[in-house]
Amino acid sequence: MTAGDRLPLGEALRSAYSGNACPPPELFLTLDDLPPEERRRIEEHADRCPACAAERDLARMFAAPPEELESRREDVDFVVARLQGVGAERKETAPPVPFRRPSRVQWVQRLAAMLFVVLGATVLLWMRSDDPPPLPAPSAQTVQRGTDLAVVAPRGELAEMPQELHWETAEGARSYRVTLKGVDGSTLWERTVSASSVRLPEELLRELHAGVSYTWTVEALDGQGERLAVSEPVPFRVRPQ
Amino acid sequence: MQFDHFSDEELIQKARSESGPAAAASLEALFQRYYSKVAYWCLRVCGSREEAADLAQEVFLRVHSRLGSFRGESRFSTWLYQVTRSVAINHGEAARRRTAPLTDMENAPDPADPEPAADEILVRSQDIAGLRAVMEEVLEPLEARVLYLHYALGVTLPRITEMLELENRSGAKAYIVSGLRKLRRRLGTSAPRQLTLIRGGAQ
Repeated sequence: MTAGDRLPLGEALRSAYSGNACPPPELFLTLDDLPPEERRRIEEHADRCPACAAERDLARMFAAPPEELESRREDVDFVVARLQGVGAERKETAPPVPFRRPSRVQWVQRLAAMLFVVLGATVLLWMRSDDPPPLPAPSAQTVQRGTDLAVVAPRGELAEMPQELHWETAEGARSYRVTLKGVDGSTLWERTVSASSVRLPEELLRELHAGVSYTWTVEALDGQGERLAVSEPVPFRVRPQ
Repeated sequence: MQFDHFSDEELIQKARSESGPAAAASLEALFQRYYSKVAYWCLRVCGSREEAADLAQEVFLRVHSRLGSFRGESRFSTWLYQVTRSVAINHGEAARRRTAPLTDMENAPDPADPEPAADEILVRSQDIAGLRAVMEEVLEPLEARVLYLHYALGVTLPRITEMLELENRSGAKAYIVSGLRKLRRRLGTSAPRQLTLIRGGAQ
């Protein structure tokens, strides 16, 4: 006998219990819409048939009332946050960020910063007599700059899962700490390396999925492990097949 | 909210008649209505909330990619349930293949059986017609229900324990172990025309 003659038990069970004797599984979602006699007949069948009893268990959970969802509110919110992250990617817009009114202290800080910039620019203009130098031409390689540290790839929507992360070196850096996060902000993986790239381990790659957004950042560290610079958080996502 | 007065089916129509961001916004409004429901359902069948989040994401990716096949012959919520159930079954089968076989079954003394080569339980295709009768003949209704929930519908054992409020020490696992053992004993290798349950791949 060959393996092709055999079916996994789950498939065999579904096949054995399909047919005219059992109603379609989704019918258990709408039992309340059926005429009382029909509903009673199906309920009685499900009481005798283990497959239909199981299908009824599953359908009841899908039709659970809102108060039942409340009993697992924290977990439900966790899953919904992930779904909303993917949904936002589908819309190709940034996920909504709650608007927060800046405090009075923040306003004072911003005002002071603006005054400082204006004053500095005035002093520089006064000190320089010749024309300002032209702005630097944009780099041929697209990079995303944070506080002095620029990441190269991956970024944005990708055709396939990246195997490596690349960034530019920072002056004085002895090592780089790379962090990969999920859409909910949880850290999925972190690694400190001395080069300006790192290969993603196989066990991590197995956990990454197409259609899901991830964000990575890189920090440049000095010999004492103090942070010298940090990149912007860079999102990437593999297009769903 | 701007989409509140639309029914599910109207939102789908709207998405089909629009394009670009407007269509995406209609679909997202539709999906938002069901995020909590699908999330809760996935949490009730999966082993962890991480797994539930993966499953729920898979569900909406599938819904998004197959929405073209929704013909409006049933409610959208019914169709969504069909998709969710189908994704969960595939997910459960894949997860079971990744995990180790049940220890109790592995240790069960049964010298007639060959050493298992894989962790999947296989049934000869010509014996499927008899499977239903055999299940109902030799198993307690609860054993059969647990077996079906786990193997046919992909629900994890801890979630079955929770769902059926099983109060024995090892919960659903005990019913799986006893159910499989009864099936194997009843369908011993001496019965040539009867169902053969084996553990392992090709012999």
